[in-house]
Amino acid sequence: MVRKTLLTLVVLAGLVGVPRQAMAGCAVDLLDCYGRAAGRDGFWMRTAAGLDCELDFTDCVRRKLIGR
Amino acid sequence: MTRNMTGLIAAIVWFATGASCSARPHHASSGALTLRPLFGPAIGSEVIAGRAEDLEPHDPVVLLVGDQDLVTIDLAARAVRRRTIQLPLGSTCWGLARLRDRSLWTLKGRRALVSVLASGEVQRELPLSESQFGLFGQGDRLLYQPADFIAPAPALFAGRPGDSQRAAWGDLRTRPFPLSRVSVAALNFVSCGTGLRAERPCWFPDEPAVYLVDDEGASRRLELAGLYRVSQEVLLTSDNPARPVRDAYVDAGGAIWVLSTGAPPSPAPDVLGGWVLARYGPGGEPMGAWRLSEPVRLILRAEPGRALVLTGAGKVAEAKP
Repeated sequence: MVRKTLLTLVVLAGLVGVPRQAMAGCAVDLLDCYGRAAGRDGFWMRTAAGLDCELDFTDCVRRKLIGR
Repeated sequence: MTRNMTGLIAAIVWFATGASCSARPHHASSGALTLRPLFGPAIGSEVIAGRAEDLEPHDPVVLLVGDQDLVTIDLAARAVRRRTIQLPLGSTCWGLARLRDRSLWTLKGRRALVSVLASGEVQRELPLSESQFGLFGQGDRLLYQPADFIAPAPALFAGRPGDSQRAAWGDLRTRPFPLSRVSVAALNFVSCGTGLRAERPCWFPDEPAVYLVDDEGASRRLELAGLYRVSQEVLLTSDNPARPVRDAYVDAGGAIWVLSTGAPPSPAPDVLGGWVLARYGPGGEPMGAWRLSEPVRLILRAEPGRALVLTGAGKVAEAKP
């Protein structure tokens, strides 16, 4: 009984704690981009591609955070 | 009950209440304010990516909306004109700066600067040596916010169009946070509004505060009482972040008008904008905060006693506290 109650509380807390309409688009795009960057040949190409991923992510976030 | 179970329940309760508390916005205290629609719609639900500086108090308002559209709103004539910047399809522009010579500039992508006419015609395109996050106008110089993941550092750099070198401008500085590089960069995005006196208001997305910046870049920070500060986690992960300051405008009398997200009604309409309009004196002293009858996206013009705003539905309306 105690375990079922705790499990219910955990599920409810998870639902309450998730921000409304989480910014899945920007973050998912970033992860996909990192994956593609990791496949580039050479350390410097991978590093540069990773930096571009971060810049693309900040562009995405910028529209949501300071776009009016 | 074991100590571990007690701790787990306490953690769950803290997490649940802490997350919801941090997301609770502020309620205006001076009462409700009904907006009076004047004309429009001027824009749709697309993002407003930039606003050109007003060189004269009654200049038409020029906005960059969506990826590459210029919208000119003539408040006196109650007219709206929309033109697409003549760039290749798929181009993305950000920021809109107007210089003293009335030229308009925007960032094309992160590494190019473009001069445009209000008709959408492109006059010049200049490559930039570094990626830029933001663009503003100041006299005959452009103010850039570099795509810099390092903080603390100068937030803005100035240069004339075509200058290969840009110098740090003013004393506005980015803030360090114990977060990832991209989160630090996002929390340090600078926004600036319109100021009809010697100072213009600028702000960061997480702070209930404005920095009043003069023509030489000297700034003074004003805490804005009564605006709720949301947690960084909520701000960075929400699709429609509850921002303490969404827009700010300093009128000719020195009063600071602030648009804040505030508390939406329940159920909340799926429309962008803030629900609280607040006013502060030149020293940051509160002069009132009103709950709006509908969400507002931008303060188009403010004068002592009233503001003309752009509503979430894209219409121009009057707010008269």
